[in-house]
Amino acid sequence: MRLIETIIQNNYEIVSIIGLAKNAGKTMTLNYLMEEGAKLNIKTGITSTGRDGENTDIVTQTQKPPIFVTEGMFAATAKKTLMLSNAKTEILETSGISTALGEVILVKVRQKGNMQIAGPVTAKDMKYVAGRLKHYGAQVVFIDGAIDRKAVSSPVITDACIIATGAVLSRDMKKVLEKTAHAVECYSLGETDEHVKNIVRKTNKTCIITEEGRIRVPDIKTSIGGGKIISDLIDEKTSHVFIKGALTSSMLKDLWGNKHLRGIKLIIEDGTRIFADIDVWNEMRRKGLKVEVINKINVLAVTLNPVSPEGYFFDSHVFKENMKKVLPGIKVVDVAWGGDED
Amino acid sequence: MNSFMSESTVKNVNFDYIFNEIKPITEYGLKAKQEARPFVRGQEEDLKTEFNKIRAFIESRQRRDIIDILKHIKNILGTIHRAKNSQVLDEVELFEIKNFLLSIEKLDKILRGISNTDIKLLQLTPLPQLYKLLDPADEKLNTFYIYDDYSQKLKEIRNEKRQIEKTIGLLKKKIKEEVESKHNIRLNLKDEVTVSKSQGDKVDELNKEAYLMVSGENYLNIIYKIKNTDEIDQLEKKYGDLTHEEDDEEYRIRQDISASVKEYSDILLKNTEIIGQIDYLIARANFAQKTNSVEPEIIKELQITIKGGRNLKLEKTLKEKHVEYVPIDLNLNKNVVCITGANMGGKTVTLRMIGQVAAMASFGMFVPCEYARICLFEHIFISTGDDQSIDKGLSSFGAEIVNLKEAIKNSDRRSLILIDELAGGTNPKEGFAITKAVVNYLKKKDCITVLTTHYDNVANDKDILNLQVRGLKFTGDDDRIKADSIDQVQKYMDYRLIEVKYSGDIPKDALKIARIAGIDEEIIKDAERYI
Repeated sequence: MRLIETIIQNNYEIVSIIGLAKNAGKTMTLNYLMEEGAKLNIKTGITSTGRDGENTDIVTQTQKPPIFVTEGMFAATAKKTLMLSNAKTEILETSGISTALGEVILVKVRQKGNMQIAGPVTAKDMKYVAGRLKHYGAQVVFIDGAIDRKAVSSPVITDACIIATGAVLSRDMKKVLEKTAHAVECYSLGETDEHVKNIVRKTNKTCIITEEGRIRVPDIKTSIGGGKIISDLIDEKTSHVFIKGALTSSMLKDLWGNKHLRGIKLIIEDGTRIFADIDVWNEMRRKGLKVEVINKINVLAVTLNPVSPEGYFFDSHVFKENMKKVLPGIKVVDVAWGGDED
Repeated sequence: MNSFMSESTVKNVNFDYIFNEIKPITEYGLKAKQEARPFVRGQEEDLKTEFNKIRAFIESRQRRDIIDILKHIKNILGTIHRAKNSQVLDEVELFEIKNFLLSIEKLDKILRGISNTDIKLLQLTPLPQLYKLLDPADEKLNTFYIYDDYSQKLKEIRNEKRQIEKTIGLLKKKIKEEVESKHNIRLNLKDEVTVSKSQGDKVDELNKEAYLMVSGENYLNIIYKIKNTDEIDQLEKKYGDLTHEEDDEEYRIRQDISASVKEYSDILLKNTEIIGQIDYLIARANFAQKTNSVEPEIIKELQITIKGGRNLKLEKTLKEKHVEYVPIDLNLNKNVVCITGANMGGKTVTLRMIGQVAAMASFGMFVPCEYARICLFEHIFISTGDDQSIDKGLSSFGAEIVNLKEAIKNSDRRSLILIDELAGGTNPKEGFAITKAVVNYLKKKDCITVLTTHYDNVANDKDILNLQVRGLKFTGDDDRIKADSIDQVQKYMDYRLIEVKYSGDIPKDALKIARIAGIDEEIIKDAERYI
């Protein structure tokens, strides 16, 4: 089944595309999905997490391809980018959400063209905008999620995500496979029990939970650097530890110092909160670290871009086959050269 | 506001709190609120009209509907001004104008349905002529696009573009099918095919194919892509040229509409003003309902009568502490009123309440009372011991005197002067003398002065109204009542005010309170010997 069909069949209404790095092929993936949607007469909507709106990436000086939008599609983008677009659009709504590039405007495409997309910055605004695009008739809304703005494409807003990865991550294909597998592993971490979720939702702070459901909230401003304090509060009665915010390598190391940690479950909001080094993470997982999430992210597919803007590229076929091996059960699509196989 | 109330008065009567709690929805409403001026003596009739409007909105069942429309009204002042300056508006701006006009039409319909003569003063001007320009096909949708209906030329350009697009699509499809069947290959969505270099024959074959070109290559594969024919190239060029023509035509259309917006810009601006007024009136209506406030009766003669008056900020603070606020009744019918009585008897709170009620009425708001009858002032003043001038390095007496000067200076205009414990911090002899002299001075003025004092001889004057706090509810030397906390005092306090004729009796509530609070009995007994 084609990727777009999988999305429609599963009734996923809001899907985010997360690139594991700049130039990992996120925009290519989006263009691919839009094109597929157009061919199969599926009304798609698009918005993105706020971005700079430049034609080229300031960081890498490479061309940042705009999204090609076609008649009947819906989009939500900042006014400045809309005015620069050569697509002709019907204005549906001025959202009142302001960004550095102007107010976010909701439009319906009346004539095809290229459009830079710069959507809302906060999760709350994103939820509103995606909801409105659906209201106007989009069957599925794609969120172009920037790497540093993962929170906006968090599972609280989206139904599923597609991870874009590519040769740009490393010249060594093995490294690319490893990093991608790590991301997919983190995003797909299982959800914790309902009663733990309830406790965490109520507390909404880093806390230590005992078997009897008693809660202790350590006196720390953010979880960063608070690992030792948290670790001190973990004893043989602890059953779960909830870490609000980022789970870093140093936090993991601090926690690992506590001998009781092996028996308990570490809870984080969702897989995007893990910022630990792969080596540290893998070692601890091998030793028995258990991590669960409040919100599971549904990884729908991984898309590949075998070409790096630095000039090197992987063999498309080999790259895809290897990726399939490290990600059993996950759809892998090469958007640069092949797309879905017929 | 400054000449009507100083900043410190605004704070001390908690009018800043009230003002913050009144929340218009639109930016026009916020503007109307910020520009609000007090109604002063001589504007009694205008204020009554204002109150009529508020009452009309409170009574109207359509208030909800109006609020729903207001929620969707955006600030388009910038857009109107751009049009006024002969700028060409973009599609988003035209969309905004269109939606504004739709809102005006809806609001106007509702307002016409409210049968109140004063509401009729809020006359909106719908602009169907301008709206028609923004909805040429009469679709009544609130979206905007440079529709085909705007000009025959635009329609033709767009039709031609569509035709060309179709032709290109058919040509490409035909070539694709031809290439696929000829070479027995499948091209993907991007009209590409990947061929392994190991298939040497195939590579040679495809290299010779005129319709294909190499679009990518690595050490294993070659990617071929369909090449445009000259015919397609020409069609694409034509498409590009048409797009330029289309852009020009769209610009011309926007220019025309913008000129019409310019023509109506003053009416549009007037409409924004009226929306602001409606919004601010409704915000006050909502607040009046929320706070159980009533429309005060506005009179010309110098008098304030309040039944069940509350200071809303203090009421809220007490509510948070689960303590009940005791509303106060008073009738200020003489030029000078002295409030005397127990410490902790709410005298200062009463002053703040009077000030708040008078300020709210002046600013066209209903007042938090069961009933109020009130005249308009040209100046409201309050002096309380906790004045911020003390922070500026003045002693409390110094600050008081500076404030007093302001009050005296303004007493030639009809003022409401509220003074807490005048000269309470200085020596009793001079303090009394100053207070008495100030009272003598102010009682001849066209002002209402309310002052709280402990000097028992100040009110010994037939021209002065003396109100006394009832004070502690238990009698005599009842020393069964003891409390650990001073907060307990309010349980026994009767805050009501009663009019008293001068008697010379000294209230002994200060000693009682000291006792409740648990001051050493030895000291209390000793103090009683001196009374």
